[in-house]
Amino acid sequence: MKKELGIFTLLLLLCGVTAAINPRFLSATNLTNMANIIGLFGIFSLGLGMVIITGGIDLSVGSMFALAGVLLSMFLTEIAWPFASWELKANDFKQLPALVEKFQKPNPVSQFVWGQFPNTLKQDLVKSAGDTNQTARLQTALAGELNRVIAGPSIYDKDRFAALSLPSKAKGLIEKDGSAKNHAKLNRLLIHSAYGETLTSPREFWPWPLAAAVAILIPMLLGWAHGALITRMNIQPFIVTLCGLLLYRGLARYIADDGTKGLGNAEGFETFASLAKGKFLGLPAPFVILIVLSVIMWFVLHRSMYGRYLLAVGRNENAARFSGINTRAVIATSYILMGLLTGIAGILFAFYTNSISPSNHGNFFELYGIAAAVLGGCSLRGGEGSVIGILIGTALLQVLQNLVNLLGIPSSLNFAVMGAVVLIGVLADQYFQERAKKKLVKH
Amino acid sequence: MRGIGKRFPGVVALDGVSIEVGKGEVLALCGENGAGKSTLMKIIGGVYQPDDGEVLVDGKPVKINNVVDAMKLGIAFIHQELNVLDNLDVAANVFLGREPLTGPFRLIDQKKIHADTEPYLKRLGLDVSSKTRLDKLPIAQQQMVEIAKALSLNARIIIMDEPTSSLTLTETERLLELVLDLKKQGVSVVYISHRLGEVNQIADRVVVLRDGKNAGELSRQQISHDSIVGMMVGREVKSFYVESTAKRTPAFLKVRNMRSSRYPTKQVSFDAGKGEILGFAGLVGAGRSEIMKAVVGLDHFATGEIFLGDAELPVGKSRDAIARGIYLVPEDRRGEGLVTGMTVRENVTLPSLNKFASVFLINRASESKVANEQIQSLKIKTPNAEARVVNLSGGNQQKVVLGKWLSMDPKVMILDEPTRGIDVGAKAEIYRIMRNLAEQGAVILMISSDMEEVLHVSDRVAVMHEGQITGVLDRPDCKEENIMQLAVGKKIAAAKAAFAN
Repeated sequence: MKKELGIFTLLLLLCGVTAAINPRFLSATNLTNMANIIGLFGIFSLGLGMVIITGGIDLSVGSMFALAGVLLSMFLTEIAWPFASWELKANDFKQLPALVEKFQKPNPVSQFVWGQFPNTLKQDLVKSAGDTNQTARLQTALAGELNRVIAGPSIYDKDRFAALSLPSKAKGLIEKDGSAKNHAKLNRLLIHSAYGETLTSPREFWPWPLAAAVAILIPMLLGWAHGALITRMNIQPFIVTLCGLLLYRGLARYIADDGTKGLGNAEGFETFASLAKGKFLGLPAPFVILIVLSVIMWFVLHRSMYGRYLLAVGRNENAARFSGINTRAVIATSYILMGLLTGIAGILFAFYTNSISPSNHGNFFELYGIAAAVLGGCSLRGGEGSVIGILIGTALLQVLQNLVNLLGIPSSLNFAVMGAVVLIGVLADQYFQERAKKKLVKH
Repeated sequence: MRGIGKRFPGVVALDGVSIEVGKGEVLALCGENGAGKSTLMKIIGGVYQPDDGEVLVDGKPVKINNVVDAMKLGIAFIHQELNVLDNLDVAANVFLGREPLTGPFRLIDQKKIHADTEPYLKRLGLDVSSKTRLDKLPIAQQQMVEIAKALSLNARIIIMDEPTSSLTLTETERLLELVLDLKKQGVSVVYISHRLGEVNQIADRVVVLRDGKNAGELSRQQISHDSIVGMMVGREVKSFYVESTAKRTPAFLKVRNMRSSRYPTKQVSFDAGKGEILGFAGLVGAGRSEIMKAVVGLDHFATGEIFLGDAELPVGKSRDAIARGIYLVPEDRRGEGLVTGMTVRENVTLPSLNKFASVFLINRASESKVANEQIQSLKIKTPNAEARVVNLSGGNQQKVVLGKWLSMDPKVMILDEPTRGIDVGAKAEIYRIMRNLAEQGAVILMISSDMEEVLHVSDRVAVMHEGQITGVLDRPDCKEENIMQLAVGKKIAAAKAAFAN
């Protein structure tokens, strides 16, 4: 606890100094922005802390960020979901009166579609399209009829669609033609190209919960592999994760064809974006998620059996093994945990930057995490560390970066300042430890 | 060496010991574990400074402050554990620390060290190139390289501490021939060994130490197995032991054909009954700890069969062994027994933590209760259960190790050197704890290299020699002579079989 107190004092001191020199430090925008970043970095630093407590290390965090980010973006905006539904839903209709007007226009597509509707519906639509009280009922009815058209045979006809510029995907489907399975997709695309702005565009990529699961499960799987290599093959964690660092970065660049991937306007996964980028109780989502995860991790590390085993294994793996603890499982689990937290942080970071350039997305992040954990009192020898310490360490590093910006220090010195402060922090800690030891010997 | 004395905190390691070695003489130094042989040799080698007495070389008193001083006087040391760098070649090892330099950049003169090394290798009859990396050589040849190094220092006195403990039979033969060669070349050798056969073969004279004192000396003609053993044993008996009251009970723990990875070709079988303390005696390296680690499943390469009552246990699965109440108090208390940076409470509950955890959180209150029960019943001297184990004395640390298993209702408790490095008071308490546990019906196996402890604590004694049980002695036959005979691999009439089929 003393260790955490020391670094916490340092944190307050830095905040105080920065605030005194540049009051903008305390502005709502700056504080919110900092909370956001602390959230992003804190989440994976917690995981790194757990790994460091076992006496291990994980250098692959930054590369996993790139891999998870690239995969997330691709699953959300590029890779087709094979079970996509091409049906229209009631809330896909945006401007009902405008749509009804379009249906009635004397062009071949409209006439064809309009002709498919039963007379009662036609009359109903013409009469009540402007009545907001009727909107919901009409939307449902319209969706039902249009879905019947969509599910039916291909509505494509060369003459009928001659006047329209078709989306390339529809063209592709028309060329291939044939499979009845694709008619729904084709019909939906054709209808959308005819009534475009009054309808929500079809959602054909992976549903966001599944894309998120991929972005979390892949790092967990890699973490499991790290754990297996370390505990079963007895390869040093440094080596295993160094290979990971190189491997995943290369993989991310290859998968993305070395191009920048983006999340655009989050069209179709707005809920997901608002979860990752929005605010809860006025606080940025990553910060709130960090707080929730920290509380969980605090119980895991300081109050649960697993946490006790983690500390025991980190301090003395032999004694833990002799006490019947499955030390391999304990160590391997810490790397899986690391993967989980990296995945979560990776998603949040992808939304934060909104574009993922696989060659430098997340570069050096493992080092920020290690620095935060070490500043926060984790020993690289293992067996020591606390959740609170890691949080303070993360905050300290981010405040430092902020300080460099606000105090007008050239940003090229950014890394140098951080390096110096970590060194000073560790030196001070060592000094006080030695002093405490000497005192103990004297008594 | 005259009247050498050396004290360590709480222990008098040497008390007025004198020995002398003539030029070209092979002096064997014998004694039990802890008799002071190694300490005496470390004083000659400059590792320790004597508190009393003097060391004379060529009749002149000398002061050996460090290893370099010893080297200058021509004293070389071949340790029990090899001190070679097996990632370097032979020549680099021979000239380690005094490499000749050459050229403007002061680089190591490779030509010279290889040229200078070859003659020593020839002299030792070692048919390897000086450019061979040491990890390519068998242990015996690595040891030869150490001897070559000693010769290159112009050593006149070579001290060999258990040089054959890791050698095969033929390698041992080769080494013994070498000792005789060295002798012919006028080098004096001090040969420390538990293997009395070797001593018999090469020694000109034997000096026996016991409890840090000279116990006697034998000339070449007087040397015999029995005469050395006789001199090594025989001392007064102290009274703090809780004497055996146990009656023989039918075998409860049965171990059959156990092989450990240390002695993969040797098998060990034994029986032990409830309420019995079965002592395991033997010399260091006899394979006792290894067999016990195999019994508790900590040796993944072990094979054999273990029965607890009628139930057979899987071998090589430590968690299964613990789940059935077979516990080990390991020899290396700090390295294997305790997580010293953690508190007494955390250590006591470490193996039984699942009992204190509901869903996934630990109930600290019940944890503290159990820890405090152990602190009280074992009389662990600690400020409270939250003190870190690293701050406790050796005896109290050992009680914490005992406590963590005693709170889990042991069926079989294996203690490896339970009182090593522990003061007399705590020793007596640990013996009492062991006897109480036995009276409650547990099987207790105790490895000990402390002869008195073996004799007075055990109900029966199994003696091991080079990975095998050479015999089991019943209480009336538990005599120091008998144990020593069995420990050096001799068969005696009093020895019983270790198990009944």
